Amino acid sequence: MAAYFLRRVLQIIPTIFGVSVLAFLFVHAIPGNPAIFLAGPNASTATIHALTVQFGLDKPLAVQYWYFLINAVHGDFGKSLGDGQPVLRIIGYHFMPTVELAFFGLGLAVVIGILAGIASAVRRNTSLDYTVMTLSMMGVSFPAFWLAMMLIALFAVHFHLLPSGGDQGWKSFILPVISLGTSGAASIARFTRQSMVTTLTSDYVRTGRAKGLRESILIFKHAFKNALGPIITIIGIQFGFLLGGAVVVEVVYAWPGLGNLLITSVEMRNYPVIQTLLLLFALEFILASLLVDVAYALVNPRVRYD
Amino acid sequence: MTSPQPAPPQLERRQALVDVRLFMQRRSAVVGAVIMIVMLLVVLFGPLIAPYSPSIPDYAHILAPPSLKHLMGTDEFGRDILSRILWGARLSLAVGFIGAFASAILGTPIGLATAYYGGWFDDIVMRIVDIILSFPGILLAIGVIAILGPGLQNVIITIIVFGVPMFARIVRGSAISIKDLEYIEAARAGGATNSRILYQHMLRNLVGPITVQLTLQMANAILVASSLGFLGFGAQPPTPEWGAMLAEGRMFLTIAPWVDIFPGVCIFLAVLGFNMVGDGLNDMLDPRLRR
Repeated sequence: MAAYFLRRVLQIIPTIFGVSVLAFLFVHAIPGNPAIFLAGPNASTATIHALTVQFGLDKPLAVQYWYFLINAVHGDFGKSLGDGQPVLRIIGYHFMPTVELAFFGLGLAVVIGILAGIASAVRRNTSLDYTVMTLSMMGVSFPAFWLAMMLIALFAVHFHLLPSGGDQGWKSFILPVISLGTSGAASIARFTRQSMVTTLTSDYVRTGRAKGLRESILIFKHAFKNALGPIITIIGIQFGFLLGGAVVVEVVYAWPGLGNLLITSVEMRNYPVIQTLLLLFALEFILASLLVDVAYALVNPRVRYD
Repeated sequence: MTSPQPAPPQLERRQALVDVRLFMQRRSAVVGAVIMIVMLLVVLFGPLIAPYSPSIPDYAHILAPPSLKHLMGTDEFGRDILSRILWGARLSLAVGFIGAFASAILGTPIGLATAYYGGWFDDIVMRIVDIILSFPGILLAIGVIAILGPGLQNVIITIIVFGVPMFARIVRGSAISIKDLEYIEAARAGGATNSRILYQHMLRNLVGPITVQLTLQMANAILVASSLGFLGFGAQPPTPEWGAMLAEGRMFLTIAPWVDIFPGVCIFLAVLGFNMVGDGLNDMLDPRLRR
């Protein structure tokens, strides 16, 4: 297991390297001299020149990348345009609200998705199964931002039950978490059902049933445990979607998180912040994939020998 | 040797795509196909049947609720929402079509070639694919928009940037599973050139998975495009693109919810239709799921 883990960690190093190159090139892909927008709209020629020298923008790209990497490793991602604060500090302000939102959103998606998927697989081809599958098909097709708006119209405006935005107490979590978790829950339900149908119709479950095992033990201990591999994989993929979905959902609910920060930064052309956020989101996604692979290996020892 | 064995799955697979009867048995796929056809008709004839202009303001009827005169109500400029939706279908759906098709056309040869040639070429290309797909979809799109600036054309480019590696990865996966089959070996032994094997023999047998991915990609592209429109990075007002309509209508959510309901329903239905068809095709192509 340790060897597998180590190999998997080593495998992501080239990907992280590539992602950092892409994030680095991001600023250079914008037409014009990066120093001009690093300096901000009202900067003097002298400031621009100073920045050019400071960031080594007159040096070859490879050298510039090296500086970028060294600074990044030391936690220096440059300064935000406008207020001149370190990028990392600004991201720090917005980090926790997004983590909380993503945590509860993913939690909701996993719990509802797995339970609905198991129920659907166990009661295969009944009206319960059809209902769950229809709802899950609708769930993956909702634009998250529109679902968010409709929930506000219904629960905040019409019934006055829940706040329509902001981050003030547990009540303000409910609507954003539902908006964020719905499509994940739907996806996970579909994959859980598919995976469970395969294991429930397998020989070992039939044998277990023949020898008189209780149905609940069959479902959870035998069928579900073996169906877990693909389910874990889809949960990992959903995490990526969740990070993306968080952006639009945060905008609708005026949530003080990274998604809102990203949108404001794009509108203000605050490139150092955009660059760091892209890098951060990609790293989170890569880390999530790593965790998924390790979890997969834990539940399915066969993959470790590949 | 002559025992009545069931047909090998390969044969069944190839017939499945053209088997209309099998498709009709799947109620959800049929519903999805109907939605797709209606959407296509709206794209073609929407502007012709639109009762009002999509852009001329009518300040006498601002934010009018749905009525017989305005079936979906009017927006903050008194423009008929139904008419705007009928005109906007071209934009919202065209982005999905063009984005998904271009991704397929560019991504498929990459996937085929990496699977067929393998080696360092495969390693390098797939590593690049991994790196691009390490950025969650819409975030990559926002990053590209940050470089190119907002606009519908740039939205299509962002969809392609994400769609090409996605197709390459999926086509490669399917191609690897067939490239060592006997008929490919037979073709090679018969003296077929590499390009002939790739296009004549392999591509034809991958039409199924490619079609499935194309349909699902359209659903995804419509979602991404409308999200970008909503965030203000896509089509700009007063363009009646559905996502942009929702961005405009957001301010009136409390007093005129119909401004936000109908464009959203249309995005939802379009995405649902493509997802249902893609899902139905996928089930048909995968014999394991036929139970």
